[in-house]
Amino acid sequence: MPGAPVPNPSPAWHYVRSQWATRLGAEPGTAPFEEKWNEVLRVGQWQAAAPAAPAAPAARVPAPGTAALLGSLPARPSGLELQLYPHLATGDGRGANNGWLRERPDPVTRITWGGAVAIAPRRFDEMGLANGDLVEVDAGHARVVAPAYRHAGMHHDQVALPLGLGRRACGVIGDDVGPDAYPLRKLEGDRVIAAGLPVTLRRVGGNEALAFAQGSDVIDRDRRPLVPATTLTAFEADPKAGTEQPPGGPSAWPAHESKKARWSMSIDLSKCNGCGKCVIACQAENNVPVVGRQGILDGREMSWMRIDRYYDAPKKEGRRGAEVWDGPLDVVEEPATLFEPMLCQHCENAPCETVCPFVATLRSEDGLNQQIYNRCVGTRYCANNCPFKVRRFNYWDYSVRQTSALFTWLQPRSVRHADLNTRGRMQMKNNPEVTVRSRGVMEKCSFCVQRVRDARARATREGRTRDRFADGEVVPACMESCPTGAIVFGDVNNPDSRVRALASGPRAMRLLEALGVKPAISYLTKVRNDKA
Amino acid sequence: MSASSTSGVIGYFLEPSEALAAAAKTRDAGWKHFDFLTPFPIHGMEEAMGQRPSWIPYVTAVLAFIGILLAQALQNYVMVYDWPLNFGGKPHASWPSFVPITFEAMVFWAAIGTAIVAIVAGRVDSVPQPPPLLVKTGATVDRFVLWISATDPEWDAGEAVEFVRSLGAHGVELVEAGGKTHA
Amino acid sequence: MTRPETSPYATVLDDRQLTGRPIVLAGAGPLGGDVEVPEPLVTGAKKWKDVDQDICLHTEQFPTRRWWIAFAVALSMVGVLGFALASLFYSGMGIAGVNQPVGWGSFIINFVFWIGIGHAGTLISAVLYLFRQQWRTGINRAAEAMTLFAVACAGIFPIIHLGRPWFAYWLVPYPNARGPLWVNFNSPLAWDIFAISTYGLVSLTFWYMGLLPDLATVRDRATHPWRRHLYNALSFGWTGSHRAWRHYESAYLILAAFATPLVFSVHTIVSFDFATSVMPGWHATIFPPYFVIGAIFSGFAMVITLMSIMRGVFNLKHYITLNHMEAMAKVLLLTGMLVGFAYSTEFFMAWYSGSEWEGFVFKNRAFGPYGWAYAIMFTCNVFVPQLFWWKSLRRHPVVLFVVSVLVNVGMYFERYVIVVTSLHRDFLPSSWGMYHFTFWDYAILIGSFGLFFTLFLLFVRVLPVVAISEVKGVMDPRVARSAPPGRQVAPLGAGEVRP
Repeated sequence: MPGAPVPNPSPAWHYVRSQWATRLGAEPGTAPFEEKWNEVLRVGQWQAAAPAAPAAPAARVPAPGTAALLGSLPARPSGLELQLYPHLATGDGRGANNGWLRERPDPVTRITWGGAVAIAPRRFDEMGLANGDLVEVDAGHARVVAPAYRHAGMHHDQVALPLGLGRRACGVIGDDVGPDAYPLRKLEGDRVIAAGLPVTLRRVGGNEALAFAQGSDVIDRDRRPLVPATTLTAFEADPKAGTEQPPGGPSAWPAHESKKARWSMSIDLSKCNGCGKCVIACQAENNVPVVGRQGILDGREMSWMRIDRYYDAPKKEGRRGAEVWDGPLDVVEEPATLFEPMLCQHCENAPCETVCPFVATLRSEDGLNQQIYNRCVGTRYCANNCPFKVRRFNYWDYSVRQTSALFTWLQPRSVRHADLNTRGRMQMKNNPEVTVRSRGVMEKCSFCVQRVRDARARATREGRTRDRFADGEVVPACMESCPTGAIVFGDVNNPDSRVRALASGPRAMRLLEALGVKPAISYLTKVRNDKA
Repeated sequence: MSASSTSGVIGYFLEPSEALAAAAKTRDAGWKHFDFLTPFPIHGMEEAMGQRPSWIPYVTAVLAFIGILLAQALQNYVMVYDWPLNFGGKPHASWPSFVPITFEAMVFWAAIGTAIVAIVAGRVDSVPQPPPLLVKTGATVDRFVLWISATDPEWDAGEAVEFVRSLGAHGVELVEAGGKTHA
Repeated sequence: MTRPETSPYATVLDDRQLTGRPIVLAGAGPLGGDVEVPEPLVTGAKKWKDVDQDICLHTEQFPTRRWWIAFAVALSMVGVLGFALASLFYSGMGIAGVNQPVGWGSFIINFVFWIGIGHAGTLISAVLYLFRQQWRTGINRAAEAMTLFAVACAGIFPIIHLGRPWFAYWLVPYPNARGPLWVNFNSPLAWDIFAISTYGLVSLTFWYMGLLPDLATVRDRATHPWRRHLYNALSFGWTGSHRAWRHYESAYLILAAFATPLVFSVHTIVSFDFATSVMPGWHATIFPPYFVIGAIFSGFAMVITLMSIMRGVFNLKHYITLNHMEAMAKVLLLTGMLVGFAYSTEFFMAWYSGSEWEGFVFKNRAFGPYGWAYAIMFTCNVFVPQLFWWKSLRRHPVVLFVVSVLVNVGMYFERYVIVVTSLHRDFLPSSWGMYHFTFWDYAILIGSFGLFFTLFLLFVRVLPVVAISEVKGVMDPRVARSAPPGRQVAPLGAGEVRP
């Protein structure tokens, strides 16, 4: 009861009351304090005075010396200006001889092994170019010929070229691949200017195919609800926004039951920035071969993971998005980009498993879609039946060094494959825990099954159960390397696992539900901030 | 093959209608071990010769059933009992998947078994024939040949020749010891 | 009713007297009305022994220069095939044009193409037998041989399209020491091996049963003792005994009755390779009847092509008359329209279903980068056979040959369109790609034609190309019988006609 004397007050009691002395404007023990204190206790709340209005922001003052610096920059060119940028894979060129880096597609252009002049869509179309047409960038002091690329979102008056390509003496992997843009840099006194360079663009004849690791760029998410994405406004109205898709139907058969772990993954598209570290980590962990520029041109990429980059097709006249053909994105000023890491979805009702006649792919009891390399005879039926097209076939013996002169004469490509994968001590890059596949064998993401089996072995050695694991005990290579933590892997049967919480959340979407394949991977919506 | 088992009487006819009439008369006259050798099968000849319809269709039915049984046994044993595996979430005994092979196995056993049985039956269910490498009957060209084998229970060479001539055959020959003589 | 002594067939000497309509015998009916009799299936007033002479001649003479030239060309194409296959096994699947996403290409297209061609032979042999179509007797031997060789050509492709073909035997479910590890019976490829092997063996058996009496005919004409012994062994000592004919006829009917569902089931199972997948454009219930009809269509076209050549080169125009050719042309027209109906149904269902995936696939087929293949397919399969509505065109040998070749071109492109367009653009736009034949794809395709023609040329050298005993069975006895002994008439020479 407020006001009554408290028997045996603790030091904490004194402490609390002394903290309120400033607020109430009186000392504990005095009558004004006790009155206000009892009032606070009776009412249960205390209203502070309204805060003062914030002071007006101070005028911005540039740091000293800025004015001088700004004044000495070259004038903005009135025409086309060139931006040189370090290529994401090779940096300034130091990574040019690394096959993994060269084969990792640029996150936005999706070009592997080479580079291109990025040109704004309207200028590209006005010049009547097609991707790969050779153009000459003339900066006055130097000229470079490079293939052209229609880069959505590029400013009309800007072109860009990557630095670090086209080296001539870096090693057998990277030599003479891509345009060398270094000559275009301008030396002015003691400074190197690599941006804002005035250039002219001229089409020269010929076409050098760009090794794209992706087919079509544009996705119409009304017709193809394959990338869960939404805006902040829509998300706040409904947390499930962006996950709408045609539902699946009932199954004719009861599902197989399992008491063991059920490995699943969740990929947060709001966190994924398309950097591609997961792609390379997977390649390193699983001995995925490098196929080279010609292999990519032939459509025989081997990387188990890929980061698809889509441009959201703009709506036409407010109706459902217009049917998108193979054509490039219509000219839009700010294209909405979507990244979607795509890997084997480890479907519960995997269409690939049904059609393999040789029993080379089947479902394990712990929820993995298994690929048995030594049983695979290579009909490629599974790859055809995969709706996500995540299966990779070894069209050549990439990882075997052919010594027969007859063979290398018949198949000159085998020399290139050997240079990319097996030259010298390159064999040491292979992970001894994972098979190196021969030609004629299908492969795909295995959820790093070697790490899962390793955890099982450890559990057996330690006398624990082999079928259930603590969250975080098994970490696949992609999750381990992801800098933003977009990839979360775990046992969805474990009530404490993070992946269970994420997969059952409102933002989670499994792809192609209408097909009834039931993927084990959930994609969390990319929520684009439209209120900034 | 002893000489007597391949001896008999041949009578030549030139048209199916003549052969049918002759066959009916031969059957009615009580001859048992006789046959007609023709370039193509003649409709109605079985009744004219007093034959029962072929028993082959019953064999076919049994073989078809065996085929179905074997295919079902194989698939169910493999997929359900021996090493059941999870293929795309399908049940172990996915009977719709088993239908095509079951059907094909049925056809395989029925068709090929029937053919083999028919060829064997054609040799076994016959009366002893004039040896084709030694005696040219012309039955594969354009002759419709009445053949009365000497193994007939009421065989008498002279009587047989007389009987065949009485049927109006265009030529009558006696076959003995691997050769034939005009009679 | 007594049979008139003279047959109206005695005056039908060759194709020029055939009209394709029944012969009208005015006033021949019992009440004085007209009687219609069908035109003869064998022209030239041939006797039964002339049939033997005309047809066995080519197995008894040394082959002509024309045969040797054709054989040399075909054998060189087989050489190309052999070289290409050796290169394929040595270097790997990479030499073909297949990639991601188009994992199946020319090999599977060729496989479906050749199996489809094979089905017409069985249809002529078996289905037309059940329907009592007597005109089949002139062509069924060659057509069934075409089936066997087409199945042989088709059978190499499921082996060579494998990434590791030396393990192809794992597809046979036999007890083994690997577990035992069997096969996955859910997979249409596992069904395929049972279906194709059954089809090949049953077709071979059916064809061989038909050959038995004819092998006996060849034996009886042979003079060299080795030849006589060989053909006697091959014909299992056939004498023409009617007790044997009884069982033979029963078995032949049963084989025909079983071969008929094989025609439908085998190509249905081949269509299941596509229909049981989830790919839009493949996953359609129309595929089984669509494939079967397409197979009959392309097979009949190949039979017309082969018969057009054979009847001229081997002087068989009296046995494979223009009436035979016209009947096949009518079947071609019918099946062509059914195929066109199937195309229209697919298009309609792609729209009506409201399925975005399906609708896109069909728009892409017609208007996408492979629209040229679609145009060829549609023109050759739907529009070109419509020429056969005109009787004069149905009976014109050059038109028949050209149309049949174009139909086979169109049917090849149909399989190309089906396999490639559904794979190259499916669900995820990021995985879209293109597919092109490489030099090795062309080489193996041409080589397979070489293999087919090599086998066929060997067949015409060694075995009678027309079913002699069956043709004799449909000839009018009044014309075909020999004269009684005492009135000897000189036998006909090759190709001669009795005046």
